[in-house]
Amino acid sequence: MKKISLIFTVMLFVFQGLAAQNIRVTGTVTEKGTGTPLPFVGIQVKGTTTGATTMDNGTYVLNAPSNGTLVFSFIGYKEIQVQIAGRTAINVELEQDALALEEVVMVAYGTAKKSSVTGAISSVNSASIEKRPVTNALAALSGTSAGVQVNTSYGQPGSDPAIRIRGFGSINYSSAPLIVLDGAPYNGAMSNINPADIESINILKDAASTALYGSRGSNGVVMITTKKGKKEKLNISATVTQGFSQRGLPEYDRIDAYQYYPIMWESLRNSLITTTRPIDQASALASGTTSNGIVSNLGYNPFTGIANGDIVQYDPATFASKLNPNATSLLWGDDLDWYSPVERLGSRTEAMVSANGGSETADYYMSVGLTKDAGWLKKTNYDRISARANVNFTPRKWVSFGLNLNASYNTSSSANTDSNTGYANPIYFARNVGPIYPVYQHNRLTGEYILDEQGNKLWDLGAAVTQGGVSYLARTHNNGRHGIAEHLLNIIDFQRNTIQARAYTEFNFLKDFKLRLNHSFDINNYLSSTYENKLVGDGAPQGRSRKNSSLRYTWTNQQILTYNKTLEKHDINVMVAHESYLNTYSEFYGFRQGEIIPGNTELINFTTTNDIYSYLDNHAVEGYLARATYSYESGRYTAEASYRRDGSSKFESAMRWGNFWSVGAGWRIDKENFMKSLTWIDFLKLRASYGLNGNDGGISYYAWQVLYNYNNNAAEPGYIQSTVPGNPFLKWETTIQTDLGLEFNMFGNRLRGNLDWFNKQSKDLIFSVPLSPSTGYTTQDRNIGNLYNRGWELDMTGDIINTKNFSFALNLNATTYVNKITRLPEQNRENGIISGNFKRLEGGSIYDYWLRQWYGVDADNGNALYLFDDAKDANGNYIMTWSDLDCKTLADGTIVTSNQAKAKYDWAGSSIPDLFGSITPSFKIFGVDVSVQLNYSIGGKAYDYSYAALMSAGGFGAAKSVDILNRWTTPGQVTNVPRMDNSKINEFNAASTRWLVDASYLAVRNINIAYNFSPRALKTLDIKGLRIYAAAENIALFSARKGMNPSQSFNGDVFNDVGFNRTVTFGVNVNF
Amino acid sequence: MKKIKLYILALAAGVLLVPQSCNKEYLETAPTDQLSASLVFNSLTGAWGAINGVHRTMYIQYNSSQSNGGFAGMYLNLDMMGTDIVFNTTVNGWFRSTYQWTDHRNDRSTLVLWWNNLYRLVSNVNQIITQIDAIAGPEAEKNAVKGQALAYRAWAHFMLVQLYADRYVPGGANSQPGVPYMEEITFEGKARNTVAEVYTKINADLTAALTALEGYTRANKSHINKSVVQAMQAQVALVQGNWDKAATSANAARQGYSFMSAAQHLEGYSKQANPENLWASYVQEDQTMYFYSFYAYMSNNFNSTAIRQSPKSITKVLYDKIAATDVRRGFWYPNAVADKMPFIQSNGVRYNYMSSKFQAVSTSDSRGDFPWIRVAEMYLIEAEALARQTGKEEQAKDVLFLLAKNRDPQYVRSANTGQALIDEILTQRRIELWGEGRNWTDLKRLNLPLVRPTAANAGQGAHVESYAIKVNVPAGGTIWTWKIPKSEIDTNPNLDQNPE
Repeated sequence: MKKISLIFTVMLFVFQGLAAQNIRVTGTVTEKGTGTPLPFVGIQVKGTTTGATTMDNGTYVLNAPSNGTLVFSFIGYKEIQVQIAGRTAINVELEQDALALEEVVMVAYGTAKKSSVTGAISSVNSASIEKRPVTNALAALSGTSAGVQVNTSYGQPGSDPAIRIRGFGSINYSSAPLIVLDGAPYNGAMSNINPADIESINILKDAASTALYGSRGSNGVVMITTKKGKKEKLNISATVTQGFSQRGLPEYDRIDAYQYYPIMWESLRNSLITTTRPIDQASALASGTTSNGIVSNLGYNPFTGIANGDIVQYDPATFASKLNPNATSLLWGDDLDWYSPVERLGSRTEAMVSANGGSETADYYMSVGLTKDAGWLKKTNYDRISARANVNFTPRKWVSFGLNLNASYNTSSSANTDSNTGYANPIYFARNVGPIYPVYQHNRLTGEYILDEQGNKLWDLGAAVTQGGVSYLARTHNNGRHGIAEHLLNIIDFQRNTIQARAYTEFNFLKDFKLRLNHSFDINNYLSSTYENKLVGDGAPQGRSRKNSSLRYTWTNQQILTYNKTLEKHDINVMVAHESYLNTYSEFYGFRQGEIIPGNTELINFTTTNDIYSYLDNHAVEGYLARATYSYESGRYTAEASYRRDGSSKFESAMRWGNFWSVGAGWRIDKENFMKSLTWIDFLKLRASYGLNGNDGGISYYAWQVLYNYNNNAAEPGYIQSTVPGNPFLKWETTIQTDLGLEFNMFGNRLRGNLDWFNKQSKDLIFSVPLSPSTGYTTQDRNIGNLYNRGWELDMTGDIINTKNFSFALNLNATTYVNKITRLPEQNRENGIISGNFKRLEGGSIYDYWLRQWYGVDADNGNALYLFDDAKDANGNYIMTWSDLDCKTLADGTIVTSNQAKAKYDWAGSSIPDLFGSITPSFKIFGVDVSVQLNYSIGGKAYDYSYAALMSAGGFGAAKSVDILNRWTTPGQVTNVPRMDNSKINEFNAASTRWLVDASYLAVRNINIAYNFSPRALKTLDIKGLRIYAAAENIALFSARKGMNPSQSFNGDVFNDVGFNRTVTFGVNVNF
Repeated sequence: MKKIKLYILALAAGVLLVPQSCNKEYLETAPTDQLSASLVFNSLTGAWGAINGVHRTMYIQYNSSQSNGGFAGMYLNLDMMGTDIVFNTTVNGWFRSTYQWTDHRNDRSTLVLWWNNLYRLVSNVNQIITQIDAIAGPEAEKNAVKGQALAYRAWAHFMLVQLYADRYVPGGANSQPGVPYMEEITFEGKARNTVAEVYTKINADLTAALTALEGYTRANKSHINKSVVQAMQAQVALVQGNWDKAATSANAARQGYSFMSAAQHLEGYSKQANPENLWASYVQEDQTMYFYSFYAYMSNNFNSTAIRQSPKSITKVLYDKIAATDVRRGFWYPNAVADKMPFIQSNGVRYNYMSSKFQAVSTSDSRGDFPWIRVAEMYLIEAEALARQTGKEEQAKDVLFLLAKNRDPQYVRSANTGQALIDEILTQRRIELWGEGRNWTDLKRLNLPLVRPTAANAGQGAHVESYAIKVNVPAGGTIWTWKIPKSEIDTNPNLDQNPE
């Protein structure tokens, strides 16, 4: 960015230069400290338009009055004024401006000087992206900016993390920000872009910075700018990294085979107790070998030399269970780790070569990058090859044009984690399979592996078998399925070719005007291939294959006219533009079964067609936009206004067009006279913005239309009404945003930061208003509902120690906000809207838990106890039927019930953290840079579905958490885990506050160690720069429960997914 | 010259980049995989499409659940709650908590979502009923569409009121809360009509349907014609204890239908062409049913985990009541393990008394045309209704004889009288309709307890207590009434949940 304005500056001087008389002054401009000559430094004779520019070697020549003053200025350096005083040789050292206040930043539809920006923008530069060994650039945003939450939980390499900027602006639709890639909205996967090609990622957070994106901007904008050439000598850079990935999230602690049998026996025995069958009979039955015995219910007897009827014994006095003491060894003890066939040391390789350079009339940046990222779980891979060319020409002063083109080919394979409890989900399967079942088939008597003719082990699908004339029972958990074998035998792959093209022509005319025509198009060809094998799973026995092929073509067309005028202290910038956007998506899907030749997953190799369809979608947006900025004295006072009129095809023609706008102001307090005495303040700016924009993310393309779905009755044409009736009055959600920001630099710029207060008030929120199922409809989208996200952001960096050989800097960011619903649909106002574990009520947040209130465990009998739903009817009677069998009043007056259906639902906190952010200490020790990024989140709760499954009071064959060892067993025992009882799973394991857990965490997200060789040392090698580094990502996570990732999802759900990778990489970067 | 070239270049670049929109049509888009409602009800062709869509709703998958495969899934769930289908193992979880009588009392379970599914069908037919009159076209054809829609509306409410309300007490006031009888297109949930009101409206709709369908010749058996409406009237009257109407309607409904041949018995109750089908879907090849098909759980030939590892059996008690010469006896295998019969997948297991009554299209194709109403049921309704009327026992025996003799050539006309005759008819009904979803509603209709015969070990044609959990449920009580889904309770202030 600096370079662009540098070129501007240079041109300004070149063309404004007039030959002066007087004396001839020469000299060299160098950088203070390093002595490096500085080219392109502007030199102006004060009070005149006379000037010159330094050359490549930093030297300059100009004629100036001998009593004049020279002003040396260069972006990124502090301006210097030197009196000529008759000298003909003046050498100057420019000091780097640590802040680069005149840095030009990318803003909506243009650029702006950072000092005069009135909006809230966080920038992440290429240096900090390079520190992160991530395949998806968005993952590198985690922890970098205040106000930004990034979900980097997934172990699937290349997957797009979810991002939320300043809270959740929508309840039912998308709260995801708009991604803008090199000036055009981008709806492809971010993993198509090589992170190393990215120059900067700017996060636009408030209305002043996002209003020009109109109906798409209210969730914030992530603006990605790729690298371009610098107008200097050719620079070639090569980078190679090699890394390794291992499982970053440990498994939950679960009980082993020896603990498991007696526990499950207890569950069975307790379920067998009836009024006619007392505990002694039930215990005998549970130990026995009938179908009501424990072996029948578990199927497998894993103990060496123990007969089925002898596995679990019990104390005849207390009926407490214990494992037969002779059960000391396991038949297949080495084959109980279901993760072992799929866990690996993943490898991550990157190679990248880029070249950039330029002249006065052209610049270029070109790169080729290769990434091969293999995660800890086998068959989770992401490979990318990408090539970029960014070429710009300025053949004449009045015209320039250029093209930025990226092509990438991406391939990936992944695990089936579509469903939290899908059989084919390897994580679900491995986590939940009981600790007595082997992965591979064994001789059920001797424990030996059973091998096929080639000597390979065979997957144990848990079938009942007959071996040596003896019948052995089947596995009772997920029988016939094998999530691990299915993961390895099935295929979930995709290939994606993408092209992102950004072309422009720019005309400069009438001195102050510029017309820029942008044409951007993205092509996304996607082919996914899903194969389900013949041996086990949903594809068995036939084998089946799906192909999903899609083509997305998105173009954005912009005409931008700008007027830029500087009159002494007044800077005026006016922009008007028109933009049109079209997204065309077509998909073809085919699904066949009946595999003919093994190993060929193409549809031709299958016999029967299960499904085949295609469709085409169009989405169009058109906008007219304008912005005016006025700045006095380089940002001492700045005022800005922007406006956009947007039309979208998603809405009915009468509702289609909307107006979006913002106003902003900035005040450089430090430039005021009264601040002069406060020398310790280097920079102080107050900014404020207010504006309105919209959100149409996630709204269906045809949301306003009342639709029927094609559903033929055999061959007769038939249509079924959609259960979601369209709403012709639907319009986008709007957000009114206020931002107040204070930016400051103090103590010689050693302490820098900004503090922002924001208030995002969303209104006309679209609610998928739940309709009574008895109407035949499920929901209808309606614009009713308001909420706000209001909070504070702080971002601070301090150069705490800064000596020659050791420096220590600390960056800290923190965000806290309140999410509050202020208006709900009329019919939901009183009772709120219940959605899953949440209830939305006015005054509450989007993620306020509304759950059965867990009370504890009845010490008398081990029942789960919930607070009784004590709501009363008009006559003062309980609405719930009181029964002494399942309700009681405790000594302290608390009324509890063991019947989950009579449990009280109540508020139970929220999944939104109280405070989150990151702490990034960085050190420099004798040229070695070390930085550590710690992400933290304090407060909020997570709902741990994975743990709840492991805590079931029954479920024969399913794994159990070690916490189940604390179950109730004896009257009088005080515990929080109910008794084991297979007949009471619904009662004891009902969704309740029992499964909530503190979501606070501290994650060591990244450690980076780098060493730059000094240019002097490299001189003999004829290379300009050499850097070696090591980076580690997701090093450690400290949370309330081992195995749990509390930041897996914004709504607090914890479920069975491929946990994140811990990646360590080593890299070398060479510059020629 | 050089300058001109540059101008041309700049112009060309500029032209490439000029706006590509600015016309009014630019923001008009329409889906290609859906159809605008305005196109559906602007012609009779469109209206036929709408009623055909309703026929299709009989066999689409609901709620993305394998246990919600069309209304065959509903009938299967109902039978799972009955006396006569046995789980031999708990290795496969599908339908297990229905079998254990927990899901129908859990307002968040998938099972109670039959409420949604039935009302969804009602909403589709209400669109037709309200809009058909305004469409131009021959009256007879409009009546054919409307009559079917009315019949569907009655049928759906009939199922709803049987599940979600306390039982209809013949001769009683039946003022207990029923279900909302939905007759209009609305976004507002309605209050519950009383059970009596619901039955009044059901009968009114069926009567109107009968009139509208007078003279209608249907294209295939997935459509509803007069005899299907009469069959529905018979079913309704049976629940209401309106014996005379039940008998006459059943008799009218069965006219023109013949019994299956012995060979057709072995076709697996999955072909629309079955002569006994009064009303059945036709599922063509590309309408793959995957694992949500009824036949993915109840056939013995389809390759699904449920069938391989958890084939269902009949109770020995009921099996033993089937005469040795009865063709239906062949559906079940009391010695399946020893005899290695019937056919199963190579890695499947057999349990004694397992069934082969139902057959999917093939091992890899779970489709089947589930019979919504078979003529056999009409004989059984007629016989039962006659037997319950004084002085009509002989007629009852005649009707029963027609069916029983077809099934068992050795069958001798019943000598039973009184309750013994009724019991014989009901036993025939349990045998004949095994797996077809009538058992549980029969228990409720007749206010009988659930009594599941048990055995200590699995695979003996009896329930295992630790698998079934519920083996005895006394007649009456709230447990016989399903919970209304929480989604309805949460959204419909006019309606109260069924008590605990």
